[in-house]
Amino acid sequence: MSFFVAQLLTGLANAAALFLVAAGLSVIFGVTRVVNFAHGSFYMLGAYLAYSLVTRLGTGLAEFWLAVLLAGLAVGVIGMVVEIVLLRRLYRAPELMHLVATFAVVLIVQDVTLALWGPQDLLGPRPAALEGGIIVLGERVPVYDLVLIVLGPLVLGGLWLLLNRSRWGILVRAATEDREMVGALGIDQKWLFTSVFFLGAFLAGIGGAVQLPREPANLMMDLNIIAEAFVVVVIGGMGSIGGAYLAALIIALLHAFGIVILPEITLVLVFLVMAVVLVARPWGLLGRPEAITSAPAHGVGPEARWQGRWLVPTFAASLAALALLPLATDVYGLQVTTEVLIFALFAVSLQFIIGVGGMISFGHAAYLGLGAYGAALLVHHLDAPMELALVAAPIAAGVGALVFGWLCVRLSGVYLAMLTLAFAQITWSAAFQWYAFTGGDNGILGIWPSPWAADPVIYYYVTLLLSSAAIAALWRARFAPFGYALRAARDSELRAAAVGIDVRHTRWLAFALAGTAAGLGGGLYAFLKGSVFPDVLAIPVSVDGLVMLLLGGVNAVLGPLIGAAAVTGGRIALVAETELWRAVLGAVIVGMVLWFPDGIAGTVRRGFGRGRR
Amino acid sequence: MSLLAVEGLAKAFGGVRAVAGIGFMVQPGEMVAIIGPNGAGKTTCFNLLGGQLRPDAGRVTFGGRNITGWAPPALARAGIGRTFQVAQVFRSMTARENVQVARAACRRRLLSLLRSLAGTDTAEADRLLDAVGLAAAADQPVTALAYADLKRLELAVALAGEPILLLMDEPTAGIAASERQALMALVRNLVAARGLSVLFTEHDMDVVFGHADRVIVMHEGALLADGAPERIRTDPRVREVYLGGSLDDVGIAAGGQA
Repeated sequence: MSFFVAQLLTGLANAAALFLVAAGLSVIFGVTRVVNFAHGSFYMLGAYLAYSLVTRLGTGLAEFWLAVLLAGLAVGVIGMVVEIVLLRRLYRAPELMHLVATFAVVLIVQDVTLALWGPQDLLGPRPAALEGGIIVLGERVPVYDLVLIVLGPLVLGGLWLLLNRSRWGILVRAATEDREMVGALGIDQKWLFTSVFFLGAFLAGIGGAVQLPREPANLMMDLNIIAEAFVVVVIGGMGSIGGAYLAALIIALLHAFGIVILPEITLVLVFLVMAVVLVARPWGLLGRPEAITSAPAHGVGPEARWQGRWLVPTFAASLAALALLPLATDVYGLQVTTEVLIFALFAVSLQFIIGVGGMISFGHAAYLGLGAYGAALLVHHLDAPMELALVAAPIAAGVGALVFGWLCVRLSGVYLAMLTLAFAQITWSAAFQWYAFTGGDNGILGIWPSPWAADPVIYYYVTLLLSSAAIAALWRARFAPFGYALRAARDSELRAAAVGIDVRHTRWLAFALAGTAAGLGGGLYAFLKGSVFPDVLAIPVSVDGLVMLLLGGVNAVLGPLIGAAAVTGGRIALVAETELWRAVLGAVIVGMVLWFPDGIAGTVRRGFGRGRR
Repeated sequence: MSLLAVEGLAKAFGGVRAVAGIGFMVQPGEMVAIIGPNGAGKTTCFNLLGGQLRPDAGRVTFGGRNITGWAPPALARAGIGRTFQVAQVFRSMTARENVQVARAACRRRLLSLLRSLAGTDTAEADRLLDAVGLAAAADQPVTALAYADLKRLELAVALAGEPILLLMDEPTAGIAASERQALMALVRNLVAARGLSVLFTEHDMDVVFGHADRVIVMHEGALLADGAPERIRTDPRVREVYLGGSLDDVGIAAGGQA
């Protein structure tokens, strides 16, 4: 009983920070329709800023709360700057651009934080008055936890008052309902959007600051919290503050109780709760159905048709050139090219979902990773040969994609994006936490190719053969009736259903197909590196895939190949050149999103003035 | 036996009963118009029949089969084609590809991964495009077509599914008055040539009275009148609903546009 109470209280305390972040995310989305990936970064900055402030101001009770408040305000201002400099120019852009642009902010904030505060975890001093614990039903509960438990409902109530009783709040709610109308009534939307960003970032900053006495400020806070916040928002209902609180409680309690039973169980529980909620109420517990946006994931225009005609000759010529490459380069060059080939397959498979299918996946790394781990685990635990492992890799990823995809295809737009990210994060956590099976962050070492393929030249040919075959198969499917059905569902769901296309099934199958292809890439990747680490499943890999698509053009058939070469090659060069490669990559993404939203291929195409239409 | 039989169909949104227990029939080869003032429940009724909405109550029978609450793909396979108030076409494709996808769906070839769509049913697709007067536009991306042509294309796409019954929600909405009669004459001919039945909603009374074999009038979610165009034209209740019982400035009696 006492144990139960202790876990209950811990869970409730954990819910506070999660709720603050999710509420901010939700408020921002409600008004601006931007899913702010950088919200986790705001949370992390809140913690770091609070650390610096508390250590300067002292640990008195008043000083502590002053530090929390100042940290929140500072983060709020940072949020405003992000809105004014970046997002204000993107409101009319597709959702994909919002996600990628705000992820660029994540990258930049990571490097700035690293530069300012260093790599070590920073545990903030707890205010003296909130030290110690009190005994509740025989268990000692930290006083600070009780403070957080009270804080959640307090903020919820405060937000409710702000949104329902102030003129500003009424405008915010009106804008959430109908943005055009608010604009038509002569309300200055710019100011409204900026102030909403301030509020959202402020909440996240406070969330990070109050977490400081419980959890040291660290550089992984941003992506850890954002994945959970996405889960909370999807479960609670986008735009619903009450839903965010309810869902934050559910998730935090699942964690609190799951962790004492079996940590891995927690992930399964979170997944199951999400599954149940999304099947019963796809718009979330307290969300409303009509809030779901079903706008196309990106500009849908005529498919570039010349690519169909030139595809085969271009592909054949590239293959011939790649086949001759070992004559022209050294082992290092071949290994880099092998990696490019793997990521080309990864990007083409992602394009199948995003470009052809119109489903924004923000967690495609999950399938690369499932393939890599599928192969590596087979080798590690069962001593399987490379050939068998390379068969198992796409199967493992395909099965994963079938399971996750079954839920994902029930959603669309940003909900789908958040859900795919959450699933990727679940697989990442599983790989990261399950030491006994996956080796956790020590990874799995010693995954080498069979002796006949051990020579880098041979392995290069193996990769060239398998990935180009898989790419060709995906292209074939794209121009087959199946690919057209998928595109039809993307262009007009109504029309597609009315001609007899089962939209959900078609998307589900596409999801599985793309996941399978990415899994093959994952298997090849494991044997190329000789090892597998949880990084292969992590969010940055998913975002790399998106950047590849954006660079190459979301719909251009050859785009993913160009993008994969540019991103993989660029990254390898960048990491060798500078410590601040994340910030540089972030800046490149921001520049691309703002000035070249059509990608390299699109910009080139426009440059040549495709006046034939 | 009637092709489509609707009994007691109802749908409420919150407290508003958009469709309040309507019933009617469509016979094989018949062209039936549903009219009614704005808010009468025409579009809701259409979306209930087309599977876009699920009814709260009632029963829909098609060719003797109970199809109440079926989803759109199942209805399409059963032989019900659909066009929308705002033309819905596949914007990233050419006109021919639009029809080819619909053909592939009709022939259950959608799971085919290996053959190329470009080579399947080309002649058939071209015949359908020819039938709606779009033969010359077959290779055009649909974004290059005029809106009236999109309406025609949508018709070809719907016909590609080999429907027995065609549901057309405001087939002439958004196109120039001069082109409306031509489009409806085309529908008329297709109905005759293929033995189709058509159920359509329409605001343009010239179109209704020029092309419908029978007219159903909805008012406040319920059936107000159901009969031949001449009878509807002179029905005092219909005049009352449309004209508020006083003015003589619009449509029904004069045969102009309501």
